[in-house]
Amino acid sequence: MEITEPWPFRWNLKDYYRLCHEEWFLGRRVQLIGGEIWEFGPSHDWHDASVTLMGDELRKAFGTGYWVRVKGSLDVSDRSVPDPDLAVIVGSPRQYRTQGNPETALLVVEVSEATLWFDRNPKANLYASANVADYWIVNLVQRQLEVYRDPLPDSSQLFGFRYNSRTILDPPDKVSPLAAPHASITVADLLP
Amino acid sequence: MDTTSNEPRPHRWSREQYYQMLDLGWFQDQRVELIDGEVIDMPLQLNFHALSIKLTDTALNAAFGPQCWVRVQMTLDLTPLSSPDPDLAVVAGPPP
Repeated sequence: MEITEPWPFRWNLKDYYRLCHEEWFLGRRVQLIGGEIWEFGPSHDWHDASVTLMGDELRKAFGTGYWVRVKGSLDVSDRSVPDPDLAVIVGSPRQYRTQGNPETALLVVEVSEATLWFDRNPKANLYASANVADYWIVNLVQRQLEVYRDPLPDSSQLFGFRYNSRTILDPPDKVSPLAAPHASITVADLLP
Repeated sequence: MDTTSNEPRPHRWSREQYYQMLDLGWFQDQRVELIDGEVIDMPLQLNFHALSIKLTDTALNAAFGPQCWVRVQMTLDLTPLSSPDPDLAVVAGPPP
């Protein structure tokens, strides 16, 4: 006989969009992560400055034919709808889908201050599970860029995936997006 | 700068919101309770659990008599963030 324990209710993607449509989260910043609804605090000015600087650099690096989405949702799975700070996808904003959001991206960026633990752990596992090959964290606390690559399955990890490589870059260092290898971005230019 | 207070945290529902959601048809055919702002999925009950409730109900009614209400699996509005459905609860006063 199987005895099951009480467990937090797990919301799915359809539930989550219905909750948003019913306006349960007005004035709150929420994301669905692994069936749980997480609330995020208001962002600081320098966080938004870093998002803007990153957006400018990524638009230069990728050029036309790519869409640098800012704070747009990704329909990663039936249990997860994160809103990364930035995500680069193929196509232009004029080719937006009429239904649903992208399920993955060429590059995902989170700008981290209070969210550092969350971005390094559940979010990294989640983006690895969505086959995001290039995941960057702008670490505003240490003023570094963390580059995560090589997503691979690992059943011991949340969402069953992790990144195999992590590279820490300092302000003078340069980085090239995997999907825009000819571009070169100086880390200092991403820091407010 | 204090950044710890700004960390992501699980969303909490109020009891009032929880009842509004039930009215809107959420959690149909599901056994859920609101515990400290979280909606908790309760497991299906097995027969010996049901039997134990029945025996306890009988015993508590005998012990407390008609001046108390032995409520079985009914909701208690405990706090603004919690409304559990305990298996049994004895409240003062007879059933209305």
